[in-house]
Amino acid sequence: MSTLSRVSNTLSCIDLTVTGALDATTVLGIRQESAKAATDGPILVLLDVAAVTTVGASGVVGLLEVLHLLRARGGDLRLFGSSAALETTRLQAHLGQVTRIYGTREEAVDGGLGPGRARHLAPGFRWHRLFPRRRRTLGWS
Amino acid sequence: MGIHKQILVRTLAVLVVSFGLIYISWRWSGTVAWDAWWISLPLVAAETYSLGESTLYAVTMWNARRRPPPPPALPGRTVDVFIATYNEPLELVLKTAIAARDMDYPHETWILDDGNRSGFASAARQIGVGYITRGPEWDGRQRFAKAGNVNNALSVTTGEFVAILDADQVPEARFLDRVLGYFDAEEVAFVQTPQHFWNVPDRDPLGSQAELFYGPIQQGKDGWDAAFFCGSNAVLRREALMALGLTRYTRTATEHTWSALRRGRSRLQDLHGELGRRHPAAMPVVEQAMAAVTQAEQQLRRGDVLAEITFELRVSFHAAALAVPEAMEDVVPELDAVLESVDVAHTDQALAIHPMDTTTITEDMATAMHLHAMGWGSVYHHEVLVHGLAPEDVSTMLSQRHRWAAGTMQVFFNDNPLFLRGLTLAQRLMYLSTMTSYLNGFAALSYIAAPVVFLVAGTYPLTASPVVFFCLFLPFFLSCQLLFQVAGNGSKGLWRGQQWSFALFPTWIAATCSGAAAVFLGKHLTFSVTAKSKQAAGRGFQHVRLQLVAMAVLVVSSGIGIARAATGEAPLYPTLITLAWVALDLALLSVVIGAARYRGPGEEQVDPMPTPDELPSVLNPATLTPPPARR
Repeated sequence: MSTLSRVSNTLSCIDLTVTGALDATTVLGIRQESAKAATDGPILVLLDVAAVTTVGASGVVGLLEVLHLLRARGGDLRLFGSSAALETTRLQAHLGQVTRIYGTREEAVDGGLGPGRARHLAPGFRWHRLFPRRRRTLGWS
Repeated sequence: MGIHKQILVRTLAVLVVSFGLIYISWRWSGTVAWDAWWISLPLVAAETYSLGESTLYAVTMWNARRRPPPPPALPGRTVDVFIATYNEPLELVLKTAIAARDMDYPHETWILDDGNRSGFASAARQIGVGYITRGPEWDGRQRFAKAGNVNNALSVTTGEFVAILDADQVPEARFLDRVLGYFDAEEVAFVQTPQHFWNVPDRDPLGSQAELFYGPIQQGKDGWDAAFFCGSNAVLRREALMALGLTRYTRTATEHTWSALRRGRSRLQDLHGELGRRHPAAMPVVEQAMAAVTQAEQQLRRGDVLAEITFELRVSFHAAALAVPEAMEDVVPELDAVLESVDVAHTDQALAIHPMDTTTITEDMATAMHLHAMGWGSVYHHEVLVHGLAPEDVSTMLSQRHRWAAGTMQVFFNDNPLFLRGLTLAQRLMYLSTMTSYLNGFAALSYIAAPVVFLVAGTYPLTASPVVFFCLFLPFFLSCQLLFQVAGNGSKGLWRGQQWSFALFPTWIAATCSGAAAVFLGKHLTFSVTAKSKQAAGRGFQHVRLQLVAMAVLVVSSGIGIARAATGEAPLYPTLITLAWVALDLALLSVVIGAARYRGPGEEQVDPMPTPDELPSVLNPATLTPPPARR
């Protein structure tokens, strides 16, 4: 089915909140709710991540799967809220390259198109970043 | 391995490498028969390759690790047990599922049915295990065989740990208790246990019991922190798999978007030209879409966030399409295809992220290698905890070995461990030794051809005194054999393993070519599921005809060689040495005769895992009712 014919500049929104650990269990719940909400058409899911206390790779992967699910149906997922756990984890680097965590719900609805640019821009090119001391990583820290 | 044994192994390892280097230096420096280079060079290359393999074997055994018993499994872990099936019979799968369900440590068991069979769903509900099959999002998408099946299940389950079992691998009740303790160490990504087959007779005609691999070799790899994940009988940490999938996804996300935009622009240009001929009114839509692609490329150059770039592209395409409603039918399918391929969420695939490697048909080895490259650790637990079924006919066995070899060579060509960032030197060598072992097919061809050429045509493949040859070759050969036996640590089937390594030369060559064709020519490699029962047409000499032809050629050439020596046309001692060589080749190749005649296991082979009492009632179709599947 064409997703293009269903996309709209003004998607209807639903608000979801994630509290505590952002892991496989919590994102599976978000995914199920998003899938349910998207059955009737494209939908914009606004996910408040301010209350996230810990982040796992499963959680980030799960969020990207939610994004995949919503995009495939002409909708979108936008994260907003300030979470120290998300800001300090190395996983944020993965997430930040792909999607943005907006400061407020309004910015999320706006989708970064407005004059106030949201936070967590993907890092620009810097020569000195070509020569860092290599660090082995388990994917988080 | 005790300290005395390890000292002996290391001493032998040093001797093998030393004698080998002396021999091969001598061979290259003054014995290559350049006037017969077409046979002389392949032979010396094959010998050099064999020295390399012996060296890698020595390195593997240098550090063999026999682990102490693991700590007890901590309570409270959450575990999902996956039983992957595609076309195996229900009875077989249920037996495994019931045994998995009855494992002592608390867990959830899931049948991952890639065949989407309704009877399986009902039976799963009856025995109280979960049932997962692919959802409609997979329709028309790449499925990635077993890797896709497991990835699909990972996306709908939540356990901290995932145990993976093939449909015929029946676990003991203590399986999870015995391995979960290793995960107390946070860096451990997976624990692999041996694959043991109860339906194999002692003489093991098909060489199924890989006691050398699931023993000294895995212990050797484990010693270098490079134990292999073998696709079944293993427990993996979900976070490790997810971290791997995520890292691979984000590492390639920008590059993927760039190339998708380039391809998209090209498709739109083609569409534009086509519309110029048949629907000029629709051309402005495509022109606007191309302008949107240009805008997206600019945003990408600026380092904007990918999700926003691709969403804005979608909105722009939508606006362009709406501007000329009568053009929708002509342009929307193509615009949709471009958007799907560009979208950062990979909407052209069933899943955004594939934790289990989907680039090869040996997803297990590739996944393990990338986990190691990320710094994750692994464990080989040397205790048989799962009892499975080996192929019962030569054809199935050959098909299975071909798949393993082709997939491995696919990784060798596509993702060579020598160039993969993050692996330690020892880990690179461990992966390399497994991959290069399949190049043995070419070496075997040289070892068969060289004596034939000498016996028939009198062409010397090397120019050397027989005495000097013996003095330099025998220490190398004997120390190799000694190391093989000592490091084998009492494993059964060492000779059988050597025989198959040589006799499967057509399979190895074909698999190497398939792997290369898959990587360099984009040919598709098929994941053929190993049949779990005897196949009627699976036995017979037709399956090993190339080996039989090689044996016939060796026998005939021996006769010619003897006649030539008897008539004085050929020198005696070189002929005798060559005949000994032929005898060794024939001894190695003769393994195919028993395999071709093998009729499967006899009554003496008893399944150590009893058939569950509830199985007959579940198999009764009258008791089956269709349940909802989890997708």
